[in-house]
Amino acid sequence: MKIFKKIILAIVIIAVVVGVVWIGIHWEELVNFRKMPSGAYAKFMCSALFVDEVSEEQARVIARVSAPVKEINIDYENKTITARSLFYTSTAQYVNDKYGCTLK
Amino acid sequence: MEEYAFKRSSPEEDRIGIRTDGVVIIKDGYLVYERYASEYDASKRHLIWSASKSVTNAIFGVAVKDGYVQLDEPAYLDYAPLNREETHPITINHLLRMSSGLYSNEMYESSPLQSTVNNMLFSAGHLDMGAFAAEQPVVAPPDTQWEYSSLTSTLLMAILKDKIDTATYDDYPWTGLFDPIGIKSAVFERDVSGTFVGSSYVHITPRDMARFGFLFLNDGIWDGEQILAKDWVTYSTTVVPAMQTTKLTPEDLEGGTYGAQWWLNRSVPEWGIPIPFPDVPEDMFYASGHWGQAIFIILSLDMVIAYTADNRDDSMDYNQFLKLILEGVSTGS
Repeated sequence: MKIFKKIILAIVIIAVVVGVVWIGIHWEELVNFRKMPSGAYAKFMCSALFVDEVSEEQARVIARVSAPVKEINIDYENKTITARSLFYTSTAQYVNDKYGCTLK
Repeated sequence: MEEYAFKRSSPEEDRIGIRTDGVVIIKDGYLVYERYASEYDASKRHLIWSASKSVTNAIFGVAVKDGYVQLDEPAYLDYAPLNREETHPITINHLLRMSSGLYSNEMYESSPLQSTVNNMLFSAGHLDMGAFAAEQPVVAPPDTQWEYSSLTSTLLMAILKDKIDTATYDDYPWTGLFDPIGIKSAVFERDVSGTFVGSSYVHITPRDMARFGFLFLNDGIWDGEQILAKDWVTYSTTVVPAMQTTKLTPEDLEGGTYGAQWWLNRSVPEWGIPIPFPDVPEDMFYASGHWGQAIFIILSLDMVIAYTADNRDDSMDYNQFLKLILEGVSTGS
């Protein structure tokens, strides 16, 4: 039983070390990745609503991304979309009828 | 073709299968077919994703004609972010042909951490996409490796921004290209720095997509006026020389060979490259975008096909789709 526990402990320690090393190696990529879901959602939503002018229901189908997106704010007056995912908030703003939306 | 392309097999929110939003066909100069689905109609724009690269190509075709750019000039000349020794040999031609040697990782959903295109559009590079593209390491000498790269197309639009004054640049897609050929619907989105996102962000109606294709069908001439530089279409539809020296995977060749921001239905047997769409004439070339946007131009049939969709999986087979259209044309149906 003691040997079994030691093996489990060793596996856990190795897994933690490997995980920490992996995170260290990929830290910059992970930081950048964190911004993608909210950025993509805000931009897709803004363009679908204010450039392609589809319904909000259709825009949500188009804009859906793999990661969970919360705190979605659609400001029709200022033509701005704000979305939050992976603890990061992104905003896309409609500019005009030539330049469409820009991710801020 | 309608049964193949327009039959939605699952609810919209599932995003499964072929989900065509629009088809417009021009044959012998006439609009011969038009149909829309979902919420789309003739007046609605559609994001055409990487088919925007072919619009970027056309804007460079205009810029070369106007004398703002030369194909063989070093790309760094007026663009500081590219002014480092290892990028000095890169020319405008190398960038147009996706043969600059600058690093790129084109994966969207399948490799999100490493994806340079996701980083450019939504994360580390989104404020100044041109600078982000220019900062990538050089991984091969120019003209030796072909690598499909969204960064390259937006970098081209950033370079153009520094070659002409701001007021001219801001209107150039319209004054140089869209207005002269009667395109009214085009929206060309930009990053925070004001660079047009030449890789991805043109929104346009399928009718205007067909109009754009018609310009290329007619060798860059519209109503007798030379819109693109002379021989630009020939240049754009010539297979990139670097494909010969690139170790290409079957995935690389799924869309065919490549020209300058255009895909080609062209085999190169001596390089071991087969024709991608065997049931379609080999002189067909096309603009192609994420989730199924396309503008097909078939010179020998005097034909342009604009296609928009939200195809999130691999259900759509362009060879089958085009084969069905061509069968319809031959039977007159």
